[in-house]
Amino acid sequence: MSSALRHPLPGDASRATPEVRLSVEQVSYAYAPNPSQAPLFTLEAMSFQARPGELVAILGPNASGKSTLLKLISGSLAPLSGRIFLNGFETHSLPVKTRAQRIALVQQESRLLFPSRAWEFVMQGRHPYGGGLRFESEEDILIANNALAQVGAAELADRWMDKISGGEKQRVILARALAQEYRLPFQAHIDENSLDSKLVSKIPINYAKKNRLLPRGWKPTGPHAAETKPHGAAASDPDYLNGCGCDTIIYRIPLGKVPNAAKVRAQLFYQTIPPYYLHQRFTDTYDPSTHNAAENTQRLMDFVARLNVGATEIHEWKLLVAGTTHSITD
Amino acid sequence: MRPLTLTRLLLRCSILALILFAVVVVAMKLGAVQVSLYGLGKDLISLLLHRTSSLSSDYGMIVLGIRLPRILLAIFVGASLSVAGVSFQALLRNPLADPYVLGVSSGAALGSIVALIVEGRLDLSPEMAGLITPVGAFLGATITIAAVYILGRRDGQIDSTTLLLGGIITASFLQAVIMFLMTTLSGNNLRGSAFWFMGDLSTPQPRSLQYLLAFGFVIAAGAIYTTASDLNLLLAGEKEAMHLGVDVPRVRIVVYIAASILTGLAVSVSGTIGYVGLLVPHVMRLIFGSDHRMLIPASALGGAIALVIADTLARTVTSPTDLPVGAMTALAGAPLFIYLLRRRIA
Repeated sequence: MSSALRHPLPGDASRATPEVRLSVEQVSYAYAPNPSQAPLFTLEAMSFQARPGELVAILGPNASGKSTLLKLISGSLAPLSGRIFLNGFETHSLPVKTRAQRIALVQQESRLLFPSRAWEFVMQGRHPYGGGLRFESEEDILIANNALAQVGAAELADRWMDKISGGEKQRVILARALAQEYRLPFQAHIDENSLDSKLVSKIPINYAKKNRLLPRGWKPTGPHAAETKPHGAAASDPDYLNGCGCDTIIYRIPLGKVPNAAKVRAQLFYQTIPPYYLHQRFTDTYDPSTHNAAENTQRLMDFVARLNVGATEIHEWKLLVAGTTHSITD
Repeated sequence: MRPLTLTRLLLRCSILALILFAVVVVAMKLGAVQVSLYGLGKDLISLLLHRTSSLSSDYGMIVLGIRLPRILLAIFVGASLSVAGVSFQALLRNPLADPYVLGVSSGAALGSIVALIVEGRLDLSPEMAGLITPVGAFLGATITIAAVYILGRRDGQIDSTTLLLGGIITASFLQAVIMFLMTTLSGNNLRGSAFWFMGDLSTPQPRSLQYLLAFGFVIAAGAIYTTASDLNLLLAGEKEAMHLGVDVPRVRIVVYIAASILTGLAVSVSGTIGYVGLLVPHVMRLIFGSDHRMLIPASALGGAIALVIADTLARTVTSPTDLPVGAMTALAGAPLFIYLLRRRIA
């Protein structure tokens, strides 16, 4: 089944261990002015990996392919061979907007046609988070200000880009890249009081969450109760044993890195198709004696095998149910 | 840091709309037949409020039957050319781009003339015949911008000097073809060369064409406006825009086609009026900044204001003879073009 896939399915952990963020696998590239000529420039197949928090420097003489490698990693060029994964997704195959939300690039120079102010320039980094005609939200303003403060350029916000020095300009360009990749400083932890603290320390939060949410209206005694019975850690959760499958999750947010005020956004996802439910569907009509799946199951299997839900709203089988934003001040 | 909000956008647009209204009232008053401003204003307001169904006095025919259609045409043409100018400037990353300078207007004019010739050979109903000219103009504009775009590319990048020269050369070539056609086919009803080279708003348009113009403007300008944020980023270059999440090929095709529609529609009814698409966006940029979410509606309204003023001057300065309106816009626009060119080189 996996051989038919062009992209890893969500949850396909074999591709990248959770530690590795960027994985460059046997990537090569060649540039020729036209296909019949010998390539003017080649980048030999190369591989490396990068983990969160690591700084990676690419060194090499002029015309050795440093910029080409960056273009390949940022997805604007497709490699001739090999693949590049960022968080398990192939960078070149991501939709332009999603790619821009995950990868920011500081170019050697950013030319300007009409004068703009530094804050307007930094605000460009928020473009991938909105539609064609959106207006900047308070959150965007906060993020842009934070990004400028992070590079020590807060006082440049209202200056014209063509009236500041080259070094200051570089800092503003860096601030735009920070604003582009910005996640609100929000690290979720389940409050120890709501769950057994030993359990929390052992299980990563997203694992616990994956089993916790059930289809709307679920009851322990209701229809499909057997198929949708919680597995793993969630099976012993009192909310499932005596409740309706709903749950209260309390998050604790560390405020260490927040300047004076912060906006915190919480999002609740609804698990659309529990994997074990789907598993039951697949195995139900499977005949172990002949190793043949029924025709409909085969069709479903083929369909799922070609489904690319990467970077969509149902990424990792989750669908947004509710989201809320709160302002916190000292 | 003061990002644009919807309230501010609407407020600024309503101020421009009020100015446009005032300009329209003055333009209706001025002309060979003198009309009292007070009486006209009072009558217009009561007409707008549906108190009366027509202007009371005998100048009603002149004001509503002759001057108003011409003013409405100026509003439409000015808005179209300005929005097309803003779009070309952003897309080609060239502050000197404008439908006239790039030769797109001349391409649209040639398209209109070819359509008029074809229409003369075919036996069409008058309704259909009126609609064939804008279609020809649109095709002429699209082909010309594609040709100029290809001419302006060097090593896969748009080179702004080559692009401008390519546009100017294309324009003069197309004008020569127009001149040739007009001389050899003088028997056909092709209008005068002054119309095609200098622009003219005095020709009354049939109703079906008026609807087409209004409809085409709303669709094309609306399509361009949906890409306003993308155009802001395109100013930094196509590669950079792509890294910031802009679907560059889609934006390019939408804006090229929509801007060609705007140019084609405007040229098919008014000939080639130069420099509006250059002058208005620059003035609006000086006032409101270069954010296209503000700049596009401001240019549409500003272009309407500018062309109503230019056309009013064109028909009153040498009254009772009309000047071509393109002469008025070139008088103001050509010096600005030179100023911008000098500033870029400096």
